[in-house]
Amino acid sequence: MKPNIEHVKKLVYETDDLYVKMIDWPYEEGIICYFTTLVDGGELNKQLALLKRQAEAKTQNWAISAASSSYPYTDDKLQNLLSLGETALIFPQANIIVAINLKKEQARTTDEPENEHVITGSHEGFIENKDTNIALIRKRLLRADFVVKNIYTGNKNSDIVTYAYIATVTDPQLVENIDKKLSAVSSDEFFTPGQLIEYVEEHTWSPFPQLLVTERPDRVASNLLEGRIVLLMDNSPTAVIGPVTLFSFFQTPDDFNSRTLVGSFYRLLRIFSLITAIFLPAFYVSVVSFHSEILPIEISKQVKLAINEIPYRPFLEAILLEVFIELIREASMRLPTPIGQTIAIVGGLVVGDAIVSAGLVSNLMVIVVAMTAISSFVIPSAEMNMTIRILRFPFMLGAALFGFFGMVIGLLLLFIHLLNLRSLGRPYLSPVIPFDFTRFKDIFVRLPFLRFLRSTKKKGVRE
Amino acid sequence: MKFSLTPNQFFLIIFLLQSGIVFITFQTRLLEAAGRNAWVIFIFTGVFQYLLLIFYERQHSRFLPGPFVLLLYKLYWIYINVLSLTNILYSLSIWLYPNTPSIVLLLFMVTVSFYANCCKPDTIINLPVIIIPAILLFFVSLLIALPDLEWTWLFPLDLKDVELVWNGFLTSQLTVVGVASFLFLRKRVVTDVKMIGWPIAIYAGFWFLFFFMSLLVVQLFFPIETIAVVPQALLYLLKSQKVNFVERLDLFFLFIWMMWSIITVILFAFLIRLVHAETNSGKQYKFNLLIHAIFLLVPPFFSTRDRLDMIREPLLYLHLFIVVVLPIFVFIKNRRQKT
Repeated sequence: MKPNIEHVKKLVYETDDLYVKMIDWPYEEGIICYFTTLVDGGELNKQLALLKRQAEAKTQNWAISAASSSYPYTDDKLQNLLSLGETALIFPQANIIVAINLKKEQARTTDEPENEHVITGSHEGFIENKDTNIALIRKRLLRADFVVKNIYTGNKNSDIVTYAYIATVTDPQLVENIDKKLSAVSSDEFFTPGQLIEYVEEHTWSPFPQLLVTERPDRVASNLLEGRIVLLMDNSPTAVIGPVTLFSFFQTPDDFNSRTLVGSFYRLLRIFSLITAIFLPAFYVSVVSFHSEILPIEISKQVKLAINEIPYRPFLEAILLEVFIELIREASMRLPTPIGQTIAIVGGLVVGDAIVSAGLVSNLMVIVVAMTAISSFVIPSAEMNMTIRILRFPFMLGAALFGFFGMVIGLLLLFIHLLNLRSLGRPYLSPVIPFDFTRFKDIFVRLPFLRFLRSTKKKGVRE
Repeated sequence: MKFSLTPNQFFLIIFLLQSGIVFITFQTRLLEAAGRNAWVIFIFTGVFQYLLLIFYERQHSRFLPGPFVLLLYKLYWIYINVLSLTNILYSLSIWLYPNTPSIVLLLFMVTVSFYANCCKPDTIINLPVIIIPAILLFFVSLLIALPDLEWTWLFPLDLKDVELVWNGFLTSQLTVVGVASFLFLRKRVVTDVKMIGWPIAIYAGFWFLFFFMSLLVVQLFFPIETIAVVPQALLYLLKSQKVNFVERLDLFFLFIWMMWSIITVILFAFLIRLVHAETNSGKQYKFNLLIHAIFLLVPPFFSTRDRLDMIREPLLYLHLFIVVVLPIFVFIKNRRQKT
């Protein structure tokens, strides 16, 4: 059946924001259609005039220009083009569609990412427009080997996921792997990077993030230079980076903006914070409940004095405070910034002090939980931060049941789980396990940049 | 089972299999058996272990055991794991949890081993890495005791008493338990590295230093007459050390040793599965479940001092049979078949 206006309307279920009209053209009458909400009408008129002039001049391939291309007509193709925000010029006799890409961009200006502040360095962040985001990366990687590939996902082939890499640095097998995974995606709609990540990662049930999410183009650029692949999608201000290791989540662009020794110190501090954030409350519960004899007598006396009047067991004390801290954090995040700050102060100082005064928890427990919370906030990645905060609960439970024995069992399970994890096929604990000395030292120490570059000439992901 | 080992992974696994069970208890037993001769006898054991490794390395390509020999190895390792778990249970009940039912503690340990053995071989072969910091910590902690050592207790020696020396040598074989894994894991080493020379010498040297240092510290710390009443001398030694930040250093080490032992249990269970897979194709899930059921149900029966001693006694003789006699038998058999 030849397409006509009624048929086109039916294809998009007679939506009111469809513009569809017959249009005069040099060879035959055409049908122009587009969604008025997605297309820039003024620019479209200019483009139509240009194409018409080319057609009148009988230019070969008149339909091909910087903003247009032609396809054989099918109903699916027409639906696909319209939904992607393109204008379709249909010629029923010739049975072709000329697609004109003049999308009206609805995007905010680039701004500093709120979740990834740096002290020195670039303050640019991604926005909800993928092309702008790619431009921000390209601006930092002025090289011909920076490759951007688009993949249409889902059954209707309407969603585009873009992956980018540096051809001379990235392992071709990794590129092939990600291409295969994205091509196999069967979902029709993607709304968040989280959905995309679930398709790409290998261990969906693991609490540990296996891909790094960032809003910083400088972070993306440096990861690309380290041989990783970046996934981008429209309507999201975040890029997804892989493969990563556990230690990638503890690095920030500030490491490379500060002095070598200073950067190294803070990198070590962050790794130490991982240990305290997971184990400190469990350690305290173990010591108070089971192994108070390990403390020197002076400290032991203080601990006994502090917990003597508390009606609850240390585990309940810890749970009470930890849940309270989580509530404050969640409330201050969901509320507008000024109110959020007030909640944090009221919750942290006023209610915290009142809980101690009421004798529900001990002063020592407040110190332990506060130190744990601060340690977890030191971790630069929001996703890893949440994972670490959740992990301390099972450790506290193990400590409450069996003391250090429970912690050892938990530690072994955690370690086995981490050894099992892969990020796009690469071991999650690399370069510690499997051990690679050249990369290992870069985890703990931020080496001088020139020396760092010299040592990494081979292909593949480095830290 | 498909996996390959780097030389470092290979030696680390063997080190854990050799040290995991005995490193905290062998000093007392050796000093009881050999008296002040213990340190000299252990030097002989070091040489014996080095020669044994070289012998294994030269002959490992001829080590092609039949199903019956493989079964013997499986049973031997099951026995070692049962013994190891019983030992942990006994220590935990003495030091920390006298009122907790042993089956509950055991359930957690066996669950960890079962979980690890459900994972890919790559996970298990990398597991010993977690112990590396503990090894360093162990050395440093022993150094704390240095000022308290009485160096004159090295002498006098009594090497003329053949029975004493032989008993000591036999007891020191506890530290060589697990070395038979060399024969099964050697063919998995990824590169065609020449092991004879530095690799084996470095490993044997490190193994010797580790055990010898702990033996020496215990021998020079406790009067030889008192050693019989200190079953886990190393822990008592650490208990007596004063450091600023912690009162009971021994408790930390008890848990480090426990983690060390659990990983050893995991590795032995892995070896059992590996040997089982050589004669049984298909999925190993049921066999894995079966051996872990044994690890869960048997140790509680033996977790008293008398029973533990009872199942511990045959270890030395079994060990010599499994580590020396059986491999020689297999080598000779395969050489004859070839000719």
